[in-house]
Amino acid sequence: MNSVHVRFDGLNNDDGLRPGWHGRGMDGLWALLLTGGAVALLLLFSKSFGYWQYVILGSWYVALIAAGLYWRPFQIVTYVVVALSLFAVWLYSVGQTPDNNWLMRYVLQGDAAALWMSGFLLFATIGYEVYLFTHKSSVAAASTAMAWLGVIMGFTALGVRWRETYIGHPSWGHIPVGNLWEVMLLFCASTSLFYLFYESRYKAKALGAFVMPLVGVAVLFFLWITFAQNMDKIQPLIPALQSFWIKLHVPMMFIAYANFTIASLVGFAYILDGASQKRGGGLASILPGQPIMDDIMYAAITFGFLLFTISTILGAVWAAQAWGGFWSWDPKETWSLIVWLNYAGYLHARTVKGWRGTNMAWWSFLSLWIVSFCFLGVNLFLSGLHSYGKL
Amino acid sequence: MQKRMAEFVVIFTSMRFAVSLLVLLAIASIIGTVLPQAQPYADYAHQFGPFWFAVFKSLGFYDVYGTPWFLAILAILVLSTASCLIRNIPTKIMGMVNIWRDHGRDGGKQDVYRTSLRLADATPVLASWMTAAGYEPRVRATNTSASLVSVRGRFYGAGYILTHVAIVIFCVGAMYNANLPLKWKLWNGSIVPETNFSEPVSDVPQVSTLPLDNSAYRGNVTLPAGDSTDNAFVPSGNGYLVQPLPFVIYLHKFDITYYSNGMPKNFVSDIYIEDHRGQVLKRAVVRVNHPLSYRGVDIYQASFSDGGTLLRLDNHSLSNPGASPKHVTARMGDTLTVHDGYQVKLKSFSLYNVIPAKAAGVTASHASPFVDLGPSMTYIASTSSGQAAEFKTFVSPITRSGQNYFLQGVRTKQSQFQYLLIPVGPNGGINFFMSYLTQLKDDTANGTKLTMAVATTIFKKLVITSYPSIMANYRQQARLFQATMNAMTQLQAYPVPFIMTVHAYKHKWAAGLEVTKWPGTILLYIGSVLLVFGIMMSFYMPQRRVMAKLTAASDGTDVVITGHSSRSVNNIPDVIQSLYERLKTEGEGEHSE
Ligand code: HEM
Repeated sequence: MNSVHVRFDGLNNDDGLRPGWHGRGMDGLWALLLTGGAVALLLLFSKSFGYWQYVILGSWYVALIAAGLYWRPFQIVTYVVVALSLFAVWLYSVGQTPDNNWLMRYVLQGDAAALWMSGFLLFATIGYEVYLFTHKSSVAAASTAMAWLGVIMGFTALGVRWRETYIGHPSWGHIPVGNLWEVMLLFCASTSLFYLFYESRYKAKALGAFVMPLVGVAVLFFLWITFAQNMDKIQPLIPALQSFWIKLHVPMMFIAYANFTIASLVGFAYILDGASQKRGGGLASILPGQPIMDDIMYAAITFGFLLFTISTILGAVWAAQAWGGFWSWDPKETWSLIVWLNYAGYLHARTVKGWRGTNMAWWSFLSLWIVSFCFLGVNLFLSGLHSYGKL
Repeated sequence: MQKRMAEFVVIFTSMRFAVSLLVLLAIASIIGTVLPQAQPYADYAHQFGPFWFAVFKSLGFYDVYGTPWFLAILAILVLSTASCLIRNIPTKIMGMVNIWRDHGRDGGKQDVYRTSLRLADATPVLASWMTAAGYEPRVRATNTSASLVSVRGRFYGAGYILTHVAIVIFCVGAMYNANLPLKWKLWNGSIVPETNFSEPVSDVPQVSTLPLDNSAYRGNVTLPAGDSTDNAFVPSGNGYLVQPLPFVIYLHKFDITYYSNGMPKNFVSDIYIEDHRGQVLKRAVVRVNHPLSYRGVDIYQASFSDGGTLLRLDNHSLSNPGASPKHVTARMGDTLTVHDGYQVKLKSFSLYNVIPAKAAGVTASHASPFVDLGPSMTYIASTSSGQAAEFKTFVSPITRSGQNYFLQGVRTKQSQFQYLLIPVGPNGGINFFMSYLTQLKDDTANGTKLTMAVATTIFKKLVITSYPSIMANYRQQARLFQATMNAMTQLQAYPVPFIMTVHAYKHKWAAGLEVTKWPGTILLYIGSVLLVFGIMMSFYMPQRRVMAKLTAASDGTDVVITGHSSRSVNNIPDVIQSLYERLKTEGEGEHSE
């Protein structure tokens, strides 16, 4: 084991994680509401629940409680998203539709909310770039607000769409992670959400100028598949995807992707920070400093790696049920193994060899290409059992 | 020699070696994703040409993940991880059991502070400060010195053990499932894949047959409804091996259910498991995501195909339209000679053809924007010179603006089907149209020019003789005439001199089932659980040690505080810093190096 003696003059993040007394009430309410929600779901759906649905509900329950306690703003986003989604679902249930209700047409229906998300996130991206060059903290605050709004509209879009998949043809209904449009929506919203987490935890707003452009590119791709490819059309699930596993496997995968993406772009910021310091440029003055960026990279990669591992295993268990084999060396499976081996290598170099600094930042940055290929490239360029995501 | 061996062990269990292996494995895996695996050899030969085909074949690129070199990399990785474990486990366990073990081993620069407190007083004071900082210490003291050690996340080392044990278990399970003894026999030639795919199972030689008690396999069967089998086929190299099963699988029924837009919703096989005397042991419905397990053998719904649908076909000759159609009885998959110089291969039969109503040009019902055009058959007609065209014949006519049509799709390459629309006459068939063609042919045979007037006259005559029911309905006559003219125009681009229609059919499915025996799977589950727990422990139960060494000095006590964290670079220096601060302010300490 190697011991590390590094002067560190940042915040002591470990202690910042524990909730103070003043937040106890909020946390209690959070636990209460989630418990109420879980019980309500049980009462509503327990007739159609199999053994595994309980496991899924339980996992979501524990994960959400933990996330909210760990990071209080998450509680508020959840309230807003749930309220908006339930409101839209209620409107549908009383006969309001996008055809006869302007609020549904322009704001609340899944497609419209997704466009609002796109707009907010693009503005946030631009805002963070402006902040990087002007150093105006009001611009940074506005960008953060935009990103929050984008996250809220993105998850609302997912929530409403979940309901919409059932409307008109109940047998089509599914959690909205079944095609490329739905998962791109999830990717944009969850990457932004995790970015906001790291931003608020490490008080590092300038990183938005590095992370959000990638989200911006994803949003543009998302708009392209919406308008040029009409991939927002609701389609039923192919038989292989009709499984409760999809409700754990895919969302977890995207939390992992989000964290890997953030780690990669923070790596990029780290590299530029180093270059800027050498030249005495102004960039380093606005970035949060290399020790913090190193910390964010490590935190994001470890969290991503943990979820990626669980999700890949769940995928393998699922494959064992759907295709008759734990592991079929299908391109998607193989590429996720490559992603996994890559980050296992990264973590060994860091923990065992104690590597730090610019080289590790490069490693993290370049890993994005591997991750992106696993996420999109495989669907676009290679064929296999996972090719349901094809354009 | 022994020195060499020791060097080898050091390299073999080194981090650099492990990371290199991980990278090598990643790169090797890429090959198999870029090159489609397990295609027929002819396809590869066509793609790469004879030279590269042979090179890639000898490198095993067509089945990368089953080649000896790939398995060897995996095996070395497992051995390396295992030996790394063996080397590290004792240290890790000792570290967990005995917190004093690493004490005093922290190298590097150490700050020494001298406090005016005497050793006996300084020890409890420092202990209380450490406790306040969240690091409650254990104390060992003598007359002249004292050691305070505090460890948080003491069982962190278990994370390492769990993850790496998991990897080893995983690979052992996977290798068991991969059936290495079989790989060996294939390699040394005592088992040889059969490459003749049209041979009945009973003729497959013994060298291509696997033992009944084979330890692990993954095979497939195509089973027509109403048939049974006790063999599965295991793809291997360019051929297959026959795997006898310990029971008989009987397919009672196969069914596909559809969504309203025509996408398949589920594939469902209703099967019986029987013993060899016909006794039913188990009956189950196998569908996608819902396999059947029976005595360690799992049966999955994998695919489906036509199980030999029985067809009665009518063949209408365009070169001799007056002749009555030839009747042919055939099964799906047969090759027929229905017309001189043409071979017709019956390719597929589908029960439903659901498409958007707009695309079919028909008006949609209120309930659904989709229409089902009913059953269709595709066949390929080819000449001996190799020219071929594919046809899609719909069994029942469709209605477009009040006129019924028989629909025949044609394509000559892998393009979209072009549809020929032949108007349907009084008895639902295309006979009216064929009669019209005959009349036209007869009346123009003597050199009469084909003008609009001639075409109309012939049409009117034909309506009187064979379609009297529409004589009074001019609009319908006009529609029929227009449709007939259109069809004649379309016929000019029609590539073969005959039209085949389906008179009657008796449909039959075949289910594609996958049959596996993978006893190693339980190890994979165990490995998965260990891996996840191990990773959680490694990441989120980091070990942090804070240690203080106190030595009695003439006018007080010398204090050295050290520590390390297995994870975070920030935490420990902060704690140490704050302890030194307190020492300075409250313990009148000063830096004495
Ligand atoms: C596929 C193979 C392997 C995988 C997936 C794997 C996975 C891991 C993981 C997830 C960690 C925790 C990293 C962290 O704490 O940040 C770790 C740590 C470690 N691995 Fe591996 N490992 C593998 C192979 C090996 C091999 C071959 C060796 C030996 C040469 C090795 C030696 C270690 C050591 C010494 C640690 C650090 C334990 C500690 O923090 O005390 N690993 N490994």
